[in-house]
Amino acid sequence: MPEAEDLAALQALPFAVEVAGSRARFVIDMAVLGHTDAPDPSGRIGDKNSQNYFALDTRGDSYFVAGLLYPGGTIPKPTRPMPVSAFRGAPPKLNNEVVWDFTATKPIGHHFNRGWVLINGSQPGLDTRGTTVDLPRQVPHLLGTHSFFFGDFSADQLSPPMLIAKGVENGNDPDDEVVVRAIAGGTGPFRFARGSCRQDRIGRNTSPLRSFSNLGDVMSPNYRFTFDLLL
Amino acid sequence: MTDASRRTMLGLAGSMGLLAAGRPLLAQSNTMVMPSPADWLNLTPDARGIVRFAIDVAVIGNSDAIDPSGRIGPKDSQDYFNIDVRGDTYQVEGALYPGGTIPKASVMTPGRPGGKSSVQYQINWDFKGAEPVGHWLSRGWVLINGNREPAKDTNGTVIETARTEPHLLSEHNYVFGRFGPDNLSPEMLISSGVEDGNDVDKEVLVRAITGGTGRFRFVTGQVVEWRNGRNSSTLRSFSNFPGAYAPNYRFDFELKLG
Repeated sequence: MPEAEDLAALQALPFAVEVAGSRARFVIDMAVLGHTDAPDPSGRIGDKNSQNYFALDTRGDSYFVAGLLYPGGTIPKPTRPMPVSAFRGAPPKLNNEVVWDFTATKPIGHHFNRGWVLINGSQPGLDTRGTTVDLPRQVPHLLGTHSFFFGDFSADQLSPPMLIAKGVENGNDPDDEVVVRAIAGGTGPFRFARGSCRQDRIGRNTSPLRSFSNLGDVMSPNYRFTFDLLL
Repeated sequence: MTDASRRTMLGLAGSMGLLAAGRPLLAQSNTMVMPSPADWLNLTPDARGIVRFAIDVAVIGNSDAIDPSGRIGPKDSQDYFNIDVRGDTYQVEGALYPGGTIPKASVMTPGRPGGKSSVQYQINWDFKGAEPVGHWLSRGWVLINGNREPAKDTNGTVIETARTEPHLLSEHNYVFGRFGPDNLSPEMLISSGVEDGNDVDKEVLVRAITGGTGRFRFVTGQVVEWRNGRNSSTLRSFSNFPGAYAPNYRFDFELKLG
């Protein structure tokens, strides 16, 4: 059971937390900031100069990207299936609609995502005897660690309360993209937290991703995270 | 007497000295006693089931390995606070000591020419005072965006401005033992969080415990990271700027072991 001081800290967070015994549930929205998208292909197995990620072995790339946090429900759900012009021939999808332009409200915190790329769009891998040991696999795209900081940074508050979630993410169909991430730890009222969070797409926003800069504007995705924690 | 029991005896002597003097003890033969973690790590829980202990870390500046290959801004610059450094990765190591080994910084010392003075700029550790009892391994990403030009979306809306602290987003491994062929993975703890600010006197960080091994294999909790002066090694990431001595840290752990 959370102690009184931890319950007070949960209530002081800038979003609603449903607490029942030791269980806590809440929802957070996040808009990826496309200009912070920093892939590093220096360790890539395949061609380091290509952005044709799905036709080469992109494994070995690391990446960092930041996002802005909002209370759950802030970012509206998409309603109109839309194409992405950079992805020629791909059918329109609900979660391609740009539903967030950063003007409606201020964020309540920061999201940092870093990790490695999992996409192998290349040939099958063979061992020394010619046996196939690895087949091309295009989903999921990333293996990453998310840090959710519930507050802004300042000289007097370098580390607001936070949670960490680890797992894979991103598929090839944005309307069928649901992943579950493991909670690896937290601070403040979340310092003894364990659990998981579900990650759903909710459209795109008005900032283009740097990692697709050669293909034109590919707008950054938004996500909804539904946390289920034991405190 | 077996080697293990001898080490325990020496360790007990060492930890008794540590209790008495707040510093590890030099044995009569002038060889350093290295207490085993079992001797200096007090893992007795309090009435709420919480375990608390402290360690000291001296960052080893010459292990500071920064990789700017993914950086958003100019990759050949060390002018970190005027460019967007995000995308940089790094790895750095430190020497781990029982809490209280590194004396508390107390002498006001200038940081860089024209900059402020602080006790946190004092060089209060030169690695001769004690042998480390473990390793500290830190790696992660740089968070500094010193680009004064605000970032805008496709509509021209400002969506982000410069932010120069915290500096890093990192994972720490606290390894409670020294690596060797017969000791490749001593018991350890892992934490994750941000670190480093622009005012060394305000630099207090809270990091999440994300796992551990040995007695820590079912752990949850957090750790508070405090600055404690600097040491006699210099940081490679500031090699263009003389006198950038590596920091020391105190880590105060608050854990539930399972």
